[in-house]
Amino acid sequence: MKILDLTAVELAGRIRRGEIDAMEPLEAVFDRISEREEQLHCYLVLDRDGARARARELQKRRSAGETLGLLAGVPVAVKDNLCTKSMRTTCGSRMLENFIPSYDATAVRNLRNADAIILGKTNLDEFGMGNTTESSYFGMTRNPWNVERSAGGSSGGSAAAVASGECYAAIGTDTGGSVRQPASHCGVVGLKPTYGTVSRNGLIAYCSSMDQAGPVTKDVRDSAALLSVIASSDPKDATSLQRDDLSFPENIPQDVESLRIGIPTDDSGKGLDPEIREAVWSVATALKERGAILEEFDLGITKYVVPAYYTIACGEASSNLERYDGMKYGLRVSAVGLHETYRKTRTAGFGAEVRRRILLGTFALSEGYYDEYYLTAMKVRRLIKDAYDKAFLKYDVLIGPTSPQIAPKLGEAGMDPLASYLADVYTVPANLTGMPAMSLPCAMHSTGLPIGVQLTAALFQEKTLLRVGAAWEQIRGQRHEG
Amino acid sequence: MISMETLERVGRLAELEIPESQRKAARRDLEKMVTFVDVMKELNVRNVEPLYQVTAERAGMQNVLRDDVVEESEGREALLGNAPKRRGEFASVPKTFA
Repeated sequence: MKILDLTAVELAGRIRRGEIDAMEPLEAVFDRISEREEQLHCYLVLDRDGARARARELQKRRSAGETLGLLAGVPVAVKDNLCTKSMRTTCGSRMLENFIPSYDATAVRNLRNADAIILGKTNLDEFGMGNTTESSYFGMTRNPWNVERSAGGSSGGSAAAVASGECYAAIGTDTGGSVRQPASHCGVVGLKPTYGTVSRNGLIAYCSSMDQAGPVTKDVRDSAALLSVIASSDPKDATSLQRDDLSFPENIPQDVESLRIGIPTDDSGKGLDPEIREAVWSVATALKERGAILEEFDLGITKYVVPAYYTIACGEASSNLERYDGMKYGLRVSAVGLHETYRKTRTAGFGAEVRRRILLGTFALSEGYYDEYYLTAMKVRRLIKDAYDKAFLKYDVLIGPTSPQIAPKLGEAGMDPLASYLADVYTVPANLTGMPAMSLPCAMHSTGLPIGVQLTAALFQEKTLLRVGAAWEQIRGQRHEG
Repeated sequence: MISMETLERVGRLAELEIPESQRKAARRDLEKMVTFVDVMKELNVRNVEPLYQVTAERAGMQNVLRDDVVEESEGREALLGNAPKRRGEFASVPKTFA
C-alpha cells in the first residue's frame, strides 16, 4: 500500500508506534504537490520549512519516549479564512492580501495540540462567499477529477487537496454548505458539526450565526477523529458549546437496525439531476436492506430556505465586513478625506460577489426595509427550524443529495448568480437551523465525476451521522470488492 | 422597484463606490436579488418569533461573563505590523475632522 493511500487515522497510528517516520508521509505529500499543485491550485500559502521543522520536532519527541497525539504527524491543510499565527491569512481577498495574524484560531491550535502538521492554507471563494472557489482573488481551484470543472466551494481548496493527496485531511468552514458541497464535488467526506461545536475564535467572520468549521477527510473515521480534535468549548467564542460526547471509538459502530430514515420529497422539483436522485435512493435502499426503516415525507418549506439564507447571510456579512476600512489592517487606498478613503479601499479591496452581497445585506438591514426583509427572514428561519424539529420526532436521520448538480464547468456559475445560489438548496437548512450534516461520496456520475449524498441529524447527533456514514462506507466497500 | 435613490443610499451606507457607468447594471442586479428573496413574503409570519441564534434556546445558553482580569495579549509589534501605515507605536490614519 502506498503511503499516500493511508487515512489520517492509520497514518497517525503508524507514526505513534514508530513504524513510519513523520518526515516520510510529509515528503510524499510534497512530491504530490509538485506534481499537481500547479494545475489544481489548492493552496494559497504552503509552509514547507515550517512543516519539515515540525515533523523533525515530533520525531524527536517520540524518540524521547513521549506518546504523540491523536493526529501525530498528519499533514493537514487549513482553509485560508482561519487565522494562523505568523502565517499569511487572506480569505481569498485582495483586502487581506498581506494580513499576518498574531494568533492561531482555536481550531488550528487544537490541531497543533493533537500533533498535526499544518501544511499551509487552502484556497476559497472570497470570504467564503461562493460555491465554486472561482471568486478567490488569487485564482480558481480546479477539480482533481476533471480540471475543466470546479472543485466546488467555498472550501474548494481543502476538498481538492484531500481528493488529490496534496494533504491527508483538511479543515474547511461551512456557512451554507461550504464544507459539504466541495466534498461532494471532489468525492471526499465533509462534515459540518452542530453550530457552536467548533469555536469561531479566529475564523474570519462571514455570517456569525451560521459559520462553523468542519473536517474534510478521506473517510468517516478520519472525520470523527478530526471532529474530536477541533471541537472545544472556548471562552473566546460565547456561542461555543460544552460537549462531552465527541470522543469516538477507533471503529465507528455501523449498525443501522431499526434506524428511522426520512427522505424529504420536497426538493423544489426542478434542477435535481436524475442520476443524483437515483444515487441517493440507492444509498437509502442499501441501508434499508440492513434493517433501517425508510420513509418519504414532505418538509413543505424548501422553497423558502435559499431566500431566507441569503437575506440573513448577506445581512450579517454586510455588518461583519464593515471592519475592513483600511485603518488598522488590510488594504488601504489613500484618498482625500476619511470617507473617500473608506470607499476607495472597500471598492478596490472586495471582489464583485462580495460587493454584491454587502449591498443586498445593507439593503435588508436598512431603515424602512429591516422588518420587511431581515426580520421576515429571521421568522422564516423559525418556521424552517420547526419543520425540521417535527421531522426529527419521526426520524433519526434524513438522507438527500448534497448538491442538485455535479461539479459545474469552470466559468458557468458566474453567468447567473441566482441560479448558483439555488444550488445551495440542500445544504443551507443545516446552517439556518444549526443541525449537523455530512456529505459522503456515494456513486460516480456518467460524466466521471463524484456524486455526494447528504446525511442530516438533529442538533448534537453527530454520532448518528458517523454511524450511518460508516455503514454506507462498508456497504460501498463490499460492492467494490464484489 | 429598486430606485436609483435607493441604490445610492445603500452604496453610501455600505461605503462602496458605484461608478456612474455601472449604476444601471447595479440597480438591476440589486432588484433581481431583492425580487428573489421576496418569495418569503408568501408566508404568514405575523405571529412567528424571529430566530436569531440557533443553539441558545436548545442548549440553555446564557450570556458568558468573566472577571475583568488583565491578561497578556498578542504582541504589539505583530498587530502594528498589519497597519497599512504606522508612525512609531501608532497606526496612522487619515484626518477624521477636516
